Formats: sequence, C-alpha cells, structure tokens
Amino acid sequence: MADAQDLEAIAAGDAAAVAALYGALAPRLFAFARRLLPVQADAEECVQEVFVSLVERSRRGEPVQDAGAYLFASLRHAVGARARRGERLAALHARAAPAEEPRIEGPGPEARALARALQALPQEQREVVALKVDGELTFAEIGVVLGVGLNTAASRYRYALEKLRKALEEPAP
Amino acid sequence: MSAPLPPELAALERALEATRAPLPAGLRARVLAASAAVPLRPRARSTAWFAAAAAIAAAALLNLSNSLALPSSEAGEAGGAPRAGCARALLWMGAPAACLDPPVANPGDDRWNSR
Repeated sequence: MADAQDLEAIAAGDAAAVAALYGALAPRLFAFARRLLPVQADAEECVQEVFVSLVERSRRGEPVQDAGAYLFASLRHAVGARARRGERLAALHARAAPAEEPRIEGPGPEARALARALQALPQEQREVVALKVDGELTFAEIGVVLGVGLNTAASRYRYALEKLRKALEEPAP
Repeated sequence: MSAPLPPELAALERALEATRAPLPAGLRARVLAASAAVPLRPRARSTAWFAAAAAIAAAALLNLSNSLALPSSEAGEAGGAPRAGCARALLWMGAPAACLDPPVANPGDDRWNSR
C-alpha cells in the first residue's frame, strides 16, 4: 500500500510514484472491476478513472489516508455506476432483440458456469467475492471499503460461496 | 478472525482465483498518460493570490477603522452616546444597540446627575 511519502511524490508530479502505485494495485483493482463488469473496456476505464481521481485529489492538496482503500472504494462506486448503466442498455437491447443471450466470457464451460452463478448472486455478495478473490483484501479491509463490519463482510463471503456451490451442483438448464 | 472455509468452499475459492482477469498490457500507459495530464497544484500562484487578498483586506480594514475612529474626548470622557454617524457604523459592525445607549443615571450617584 502507498504511504504518505508516495502520495506526496504523486502530488508533486512524480510519474515514477504513480507508476509504482499502479504496479502495486492495478492488477487487483482491474481483476475486481472485470469480475463485476461484463465488458473489458468498461473495467479498464473505471480503473483509469480512479487512478486519475487519486492523482487529482493529491494535487489539489486533499489528503488520502490509505490509497488502497480509497482506490477500491472509488472503484466500487465507479463499477456500480457503470454496471447500472450497462443494465439499462442491456434492457433496451433485450427489448429490441429478446432472443439474444447475455455473453459470458471464460476459458471453459466450468468458468462460464461459475461466471453465470456469480452473476446470479445479490450485488452485495458479488462485491464481497470480487474484493476477496480478485482484490485480495482481508475481511477488515473489505469492511472498510464497503462500510460494514468485519463479521458482516466475512459472513457475506461465506453465504456467497455457499450459494455458488449450490448453483454449480444444480444441473445446467 | 474468521473460521477456515470447509474444503468444498476452499476449492470453489481456488476455482474463482483461477478465473481472475489478467491486467491488460495497454492500460498502464493510458493511466500514466492520463495522470501526467493532471495539472500540478499551483502553489506559487495561490500563495501570491492569498498574499494579495490579505493585503487588500488589511487595507480595507484600516480604511474602515480610520473612518470610524472616535475622538476620545467625545466618546469616552464625557460618557455620552457616540455621534450618530459612528453609532450607525458600530451597529453595522454588529455592536448591540444597548452598548450605544447613553449611560443610565444612577440615582445615588451624583457624578451622573450633575451633568
């Protein structure tokens, strides 16, 4: 995680500090966004948006206590907004072409089944799974990002895994 | 501390980890370019701006205080009310109206009634 010195360097215009922060956090941030968004370009835009937002904040002199928590929390909002916009567009497309199936990417049938089961989870559980598995956050960190307690984050994750397991055991329609 | 996951859920967790999306190669350059385009905080300009604003405010206050200056012989020693113009200015500055009233004579004190 970036410390105060890194953020000061970013505020001062140090491109190497931005690159270091990107190297440390971008793989996990992107994986989190990509898990929740069906379109890769949307996930890329969201990640770019939150990095630029952090840099702007630093250069405006508005301190960020924890860059990782800030980036994940901002990304969660950006992804949520993008997903809602995507759902509205999908609904419009479905009206135009109701027979079209939603496209789920994945290397094999198991991955596609997993992605489909994940999509069927409630949003709050899907977020916790993505933050834990892709963001590699602890439950305490997830709690900070979501504004819930550690135990709530842990139990949401467990419920989510239970639901996924049941969904995967059911025969495919 | 949360309890460890049962084996079937732990296997599911590993399956999810195996489907984690890799970071696209072109994203780094775009993020760094967009970050580099964010303007730096204009420290020197803002400091100069604040200094100029402070100087203007100080000059305005000095001007106001000069225009409100009460000669001590009129305002204090006689114990009377400030002149009408000054009283209006003091009211405008937020002074309670009671402060501007002439002193109330103390019946037992000849210093007030002798005037």
